[in-house]
Amino acid sequence: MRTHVRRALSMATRPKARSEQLLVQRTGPETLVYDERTHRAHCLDARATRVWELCNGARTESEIAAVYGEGEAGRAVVSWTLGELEKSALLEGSADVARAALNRRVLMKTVGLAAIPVIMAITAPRARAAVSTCSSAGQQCATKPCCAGLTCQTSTMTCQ
Amino acid sequence: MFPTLLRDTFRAAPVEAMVVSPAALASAEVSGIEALVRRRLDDAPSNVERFQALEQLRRERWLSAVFAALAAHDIPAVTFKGWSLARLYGRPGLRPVGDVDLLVRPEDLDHARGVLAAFEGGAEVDVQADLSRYLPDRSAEQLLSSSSPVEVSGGTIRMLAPADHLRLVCLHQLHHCSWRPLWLCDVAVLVEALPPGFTWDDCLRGSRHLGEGVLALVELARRWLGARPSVEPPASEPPEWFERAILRAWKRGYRPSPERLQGLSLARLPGALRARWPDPLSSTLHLDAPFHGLPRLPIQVAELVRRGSRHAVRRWRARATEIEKRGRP
Repeated sequence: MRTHVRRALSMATRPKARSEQLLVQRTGPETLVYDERTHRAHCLDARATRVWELCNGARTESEIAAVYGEGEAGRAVVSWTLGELEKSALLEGSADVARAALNRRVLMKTVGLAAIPVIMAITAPRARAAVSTCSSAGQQCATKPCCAGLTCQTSTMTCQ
Repeated sequence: MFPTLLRDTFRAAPVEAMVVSPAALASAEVSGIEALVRRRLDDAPSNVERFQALEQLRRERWLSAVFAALAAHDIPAVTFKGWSLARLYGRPGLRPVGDVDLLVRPEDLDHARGVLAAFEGGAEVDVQADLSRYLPDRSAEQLLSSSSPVEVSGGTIRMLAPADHLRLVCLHQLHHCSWRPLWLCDVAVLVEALPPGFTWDDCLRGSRHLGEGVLALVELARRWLGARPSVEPPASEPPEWFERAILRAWKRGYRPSPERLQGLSLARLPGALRARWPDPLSSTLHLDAPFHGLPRLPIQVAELVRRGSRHAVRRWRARATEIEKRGRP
């Protein structure tokens, strides 16, 4: 009963892709999204990008699935992707809607692993600290030189 | 190792897969070329490339807001290196954006710092009013007046003119003994993006010897990285020592300045000299010596003497100031 209610709620909503406080960068088939509200970064593959783009606030989930195509498999993909987009806070009012998200295992059985859209979190690379060409006061100088006017204190390996 | 791994990776076109040793990858991580080297393992964007692409976009928005604020205060400014180079690579995110370098007029320096205080936290900013350390033959006024605007989604950002930018990028890396392979990739993307109106005379104007250094690096970018300059540069034949010095610097990586000497004995002299021995690239640059094939030893010895005497004068002055302070009632 509860699942039916949630499903009905979910079907009635017209998901809308968030645009406020988001930086979006297209790189080939992928879409990179930086959330300025939460300071989280996401990477959407081509399928997830397609579903996200179809969320214009005018279409219902079933209408999105109809435009997305691929029949029953497409419906499963859209339903699962909307759940993932909500979890990543990439839909407007994401936090308020309780969407009946499909289980990944169920989806895998329906559409196969290769067809599952990917929305993944992007984390800072290990060497992020080394991207600057020079270290400022108090920063480490073990892997890069100190900025102009500072000297590397070899005892502490920091710029002073 | 790196010349082969980096060849053609700065462009958008797919690159050939290669075996990358864990040591090469570890070295690439700390020298800013990880995204480029990872293309040899898989040409699809790596996590580091994705992260850097978003950083590049964030930096662009931040810079456009900064330039709008500086313009509102009538402060002419120009940015260089970092974002302005990253945007020239074939795919967003191939180059890390690093910190922000801004050039303003000397009389605007304090005012610009005041304006930038409102933008704290967005990026590390290095505001300068004098680039003579790298470009001794260009004044800040000249660099600002020849700069060019770039329209981005949030507004307009001003960058150094391609001729000045290329000269700066080359002389900056020679000043730091070219220890980052990324810097040669910057030369490669810059020479491939030269605008139709570009003339090498503008870039080479000033010290002839510094110009030789610029051309030698352009030639290396061509030979090692496969760069194809959009405007044909004058012929250059980098000397053997020049290539060797860069390869050695890439292999060694960043070398911090040695600890200050507290008394010197004969036994410690060889070690102290070795730690302070100047590299041939920055020695030739600092002494404005020709970048030709003659041995570098006399130039390196002269540079050692120059650095030593500068250091001695600085210490003497500091000591004199200290004594003067102590003598005051």
